[in-house]
Amino acid sequence: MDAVLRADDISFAYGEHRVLDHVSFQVERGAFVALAGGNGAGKSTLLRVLLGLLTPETGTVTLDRSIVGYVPQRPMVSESLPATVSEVVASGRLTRRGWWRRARTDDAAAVDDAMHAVELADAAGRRFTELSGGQQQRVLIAKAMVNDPELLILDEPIAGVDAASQDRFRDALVSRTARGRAVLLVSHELSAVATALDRVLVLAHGRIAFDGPPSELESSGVSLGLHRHDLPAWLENQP
Amino acid sequence: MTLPLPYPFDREYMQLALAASVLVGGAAPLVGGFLVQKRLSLMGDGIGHVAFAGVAAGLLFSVWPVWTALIAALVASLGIEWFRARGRIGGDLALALFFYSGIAAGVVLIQRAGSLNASALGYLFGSVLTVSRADTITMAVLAVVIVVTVVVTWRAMFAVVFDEQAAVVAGLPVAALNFGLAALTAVTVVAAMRVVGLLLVSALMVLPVGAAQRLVPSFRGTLVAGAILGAASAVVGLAIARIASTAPGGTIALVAAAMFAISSVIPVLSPRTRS
Repeated sequence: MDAVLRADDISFAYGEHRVLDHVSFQVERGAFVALAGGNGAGKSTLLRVLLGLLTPETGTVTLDRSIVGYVPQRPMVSESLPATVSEVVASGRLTRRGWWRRARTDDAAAVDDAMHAVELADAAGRRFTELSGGQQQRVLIAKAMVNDPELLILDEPIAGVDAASQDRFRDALVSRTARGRAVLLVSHELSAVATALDRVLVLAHGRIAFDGPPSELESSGVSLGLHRHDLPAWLENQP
Repeated sequence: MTLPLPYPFDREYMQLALAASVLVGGAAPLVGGFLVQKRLSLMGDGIGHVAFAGVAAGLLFSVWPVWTALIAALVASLGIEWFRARGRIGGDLALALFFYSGIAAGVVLIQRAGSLNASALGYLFGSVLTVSRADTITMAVLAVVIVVTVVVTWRAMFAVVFDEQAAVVAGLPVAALNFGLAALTAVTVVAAMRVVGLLLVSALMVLPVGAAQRLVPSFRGTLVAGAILGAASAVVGLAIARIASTAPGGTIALVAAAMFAISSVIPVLSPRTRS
């Protein structure tokens, strides 16, 4: 199948400390893939390499960044930052139209659609910092989706988000993959989306310890509620 | 030519001062809006100290100090941003390096020029009542540069302020925008130095923004409201200075500080708060 992201033989070290050790995988068009692993497994470093924020020692990343929507962990914004929800979402549209250009009618329509998709259209004029953690996360997802990217990459998007928001979040991602858009979800918290995943990549000690469907992981004795109890224990037993 | 304006703006020197103050008071918060959100509120102060070295060099070599101050301020602003972006030293330490080096170089050069007099003090604390028509035209040109640049780049600079890493991933020219903001800060410092003085430049850049962000929920609205409050501070401060015979630069800065203080007891007027 057509790959929208390919990582070949990626290695990276902070000084003497090797974090990624010859990592290879790909994400196909329309796939819903999770990248899991314990703390310190190298998930964040791999993500930074994939996004071009770090240069790997070896290997190559094949990714057209113009087709990527990126949802970071909650940004470190000041509580007093004056920014409305619609301004935050619209800022995701800049690369599509040219950052120096004024917004056109289709830009405004795309921003409205993105806010509707995360059920925050009524909050367009509210200050971003006044929203709850779950609502802020949905705003960031709308910002990433406003260009209808072919690949959506999300970094720990459901940490600290309430259950209702998690369900809405999963449904929004599933509807994207149904339209042929790919999703790469980086998280140690997969229970909310486990049933919707096509593949799980488990990173352990800088290597891909598992790459397959969730059902296969389940047959190894690891439940779909990956993060709860059994994934850390399972990871300990990996070579 | 004197316009038929009422007291305290009835004299030509007051009308030139009014034009200069409104131009600078309106333009400075447009740049300060980004500095405040990047937690670089004191950047204008640091660049102002280096600009003082430029003024001193101008007095020493008999060059119009505005040009030498502009060169020194641009070099300092790009240097501070270079240190900040490379992460070799913290943003506050980079500011301190330029801050103290600038004022020290200024003192040495001023002493060499034998110009530690009213002329030099006018640049430090402002001398808006003595601005000439040529000075006002220069400020108008610099203000136009600031306004046009902000109008073109504010959306992209907002994206960088909101999440710099996400902006890099999105392919925005983040480094160029950051250097552009630093250079714009230098231009603002030089434009404002005759009005409030190099030591009070930051007040006009950040205090109106601090007040505006308490009153308006949006970023664009904060920039516009900050510009209006900055211009209002200039007009009110200048009027008080004429009526009470106080130093105009200091009075304008005190009015801006008073607006900030008043705004801090007013609740934020977001739609939710209103409802």
